[in-house]
Amino acid sequence: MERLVIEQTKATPQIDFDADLGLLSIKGQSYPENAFKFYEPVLKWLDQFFQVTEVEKLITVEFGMPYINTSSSKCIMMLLEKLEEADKAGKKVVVNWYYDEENDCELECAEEFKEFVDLTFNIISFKS
Amino acid sequence: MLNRLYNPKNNASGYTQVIYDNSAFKIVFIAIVIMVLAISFLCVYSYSVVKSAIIHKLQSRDLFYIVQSISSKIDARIIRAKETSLMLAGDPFIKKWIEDGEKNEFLGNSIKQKITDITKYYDYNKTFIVSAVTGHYWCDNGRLLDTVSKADPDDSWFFETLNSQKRISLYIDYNNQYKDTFVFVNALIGDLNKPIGITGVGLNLNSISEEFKSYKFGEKSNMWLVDRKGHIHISEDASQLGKDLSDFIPQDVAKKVLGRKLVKHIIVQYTHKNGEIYDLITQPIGSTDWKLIFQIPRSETTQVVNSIKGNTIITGIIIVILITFIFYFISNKIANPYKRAVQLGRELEKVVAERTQELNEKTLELQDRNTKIIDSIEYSKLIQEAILPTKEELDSVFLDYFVIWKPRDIVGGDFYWVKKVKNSYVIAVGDCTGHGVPGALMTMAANSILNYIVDESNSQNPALILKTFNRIFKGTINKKDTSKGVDEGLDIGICCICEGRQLIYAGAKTALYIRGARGLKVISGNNKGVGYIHVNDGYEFTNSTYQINEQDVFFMTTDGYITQNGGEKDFSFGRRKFEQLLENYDLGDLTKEKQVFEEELLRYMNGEPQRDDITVLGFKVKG
Repeated sequence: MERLVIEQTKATPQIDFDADLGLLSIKGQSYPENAFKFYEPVLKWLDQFFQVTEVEKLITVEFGMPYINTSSSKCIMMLLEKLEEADKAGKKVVVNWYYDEENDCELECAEEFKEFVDLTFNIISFKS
Repeated sequence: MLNRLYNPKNNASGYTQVIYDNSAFKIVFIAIVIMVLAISFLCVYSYSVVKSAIIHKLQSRDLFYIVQSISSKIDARIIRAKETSLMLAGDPFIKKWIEDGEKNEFLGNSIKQKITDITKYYDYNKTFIVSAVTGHYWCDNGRLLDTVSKADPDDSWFFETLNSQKRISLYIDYNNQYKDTFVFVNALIGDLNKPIGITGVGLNLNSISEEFKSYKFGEKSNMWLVDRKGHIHISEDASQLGKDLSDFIPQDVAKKVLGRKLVKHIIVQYTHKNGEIYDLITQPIGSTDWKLIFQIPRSETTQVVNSIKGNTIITGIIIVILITFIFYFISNKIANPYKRAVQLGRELEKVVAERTQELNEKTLELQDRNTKIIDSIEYSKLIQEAILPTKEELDSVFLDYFVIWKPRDIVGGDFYWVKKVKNSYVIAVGDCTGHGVPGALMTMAANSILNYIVDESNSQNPALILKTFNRIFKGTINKKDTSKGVDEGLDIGICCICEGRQLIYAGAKTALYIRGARGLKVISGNNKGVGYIHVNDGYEFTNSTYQINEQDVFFMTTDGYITQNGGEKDFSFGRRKFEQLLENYDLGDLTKEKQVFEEELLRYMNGEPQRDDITVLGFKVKG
């Protein structure tokens, strides 16, 4: 399946979904005016991806989002729901959230998301 | 190097229009000038070359041939005459007859007949025999013309010739009466030292001068036969006969011509006193010491060149005109791309001007629309501000307070609300989803709902208020169908200040900060918002109770302050930093604290734009 790459902009994160490696990465701030418009292709790709991927393949999802506005966080939640579904269906999904140790907002955010879904959800701090 | 000529009517874009481009004309003009100069130079040059060649030819050949021709004719005539005279002189019969004194009649008759015949048939004017013995002068009709005597001056020639000891000599006799010149060829008969007579023939030079006429070149050319002394003996112009050469040509030239004993021709060029140049050639007549002189004014020889001159000029003009046309035609082809480029430039300018005009119009339109929209929003700001509590209301509720209310885009989704119900006060700070106009619409709804639901029954139960709010809001705004994408709600914190200095708090994703004597206390509230689809209709929020102390200052904020980005790493301000602010800036004066909040945020923002609506409420409760 084709790799999904969306370049980072001021208000949107970089999307890099590599189907072959099973590595899905979202890095950057997210506050577009219309979050649904931005995340629609991302969610679509995810649906397709889960259809074609074999079971037993490890899927790692990496997050690094210093700021997410309200509408974006809704979309992220939708995304996490899809991951949760796939995980329940037998695929192995691991979520790693990397946050800058000075950004407590991001930590809070990540913790909220973790509470929201039932997944292997690792929150890892790094020093920049 | 385009020369722009100003067009009186400038077009809207401000550019003056190029009327015509004259550098192409300049090029053509220069080229024509060069061509004309070149051709003129060529014509003049070739003309002068031809002219000098003609003159050269004239001087070196033509004159020579002319003179040669004439002189050889004359020569021939004279030689023939000499031969005849010599023959006569050598005739033994004539000798005998003269020696005998002309006694022999038979001989005499035949001799007389001979000389008559000679004259008649051999183209001489005279044939004569003059005897030195008798002195008889016999002429060609057989008559005795004269008897010569020393006394007669007319006969001097005879005696001179007799003594000359020259077998043959020439004698020119100019007859004034007849205006005629005779050349006598005298041949001595007998012994040179003691001749017995003279015989010979006489030629009329007029016939030669007739010949001269045929050589006349032009009007003013002259041919002369002159003797050693310069007397003109033959001329095609009879009036010149007998005159001196120096009457017709300058003295020095005459001298030069006559001076030397020449063997061959010389060519002289001189300037007449009237300024004209004359070419002159002189040729000695071989058999005599006479000279043949041919003189012609330069202008006559160069006349032939005049026709060339005329033709050259006409040709030159024709060529110039032709080449002008050709060149103009070619340069058009060359200048054409250039002209086309110029034209293209003009057209492009026109197009640019049009587009600019269009753009300007569109811009004005957009500006107009934008102004209208902004105006509308500015007006709606008034409406939004109208639902916020007035200063009086806030004064009546709080001992001291400050409010920072900063919508991001004129109007926003944040609001704050107070209401006195019986003996309680209900205070709310809310953050509706979105900002700008959509957020503001939400605040209008939230405000109405709060006004509606907060009454005596629940004024001391903020959790219940939130529950009710949630139910009503979901019914109003959010339909079950999530595919439409409308999932709006709000984060809100509600304080109830009741009798006995009791504060009851319930928060939907909003915290209450209490700064007391013993530091900062945070009541977090529930982590569910109000109104969202994923929040159950019957969700139960939680009440927290707090006993108010004298020094307590309460703070409520929406997430705008905390999530504002800035600083070194462009992160959000953060809850931690916010709490630090609350702890550290206990200034006792809430107005001053407001300033601190504002300044701190501004400094942190460091030029970054405001990210979300900001609301911070700080208050002290009345005793």
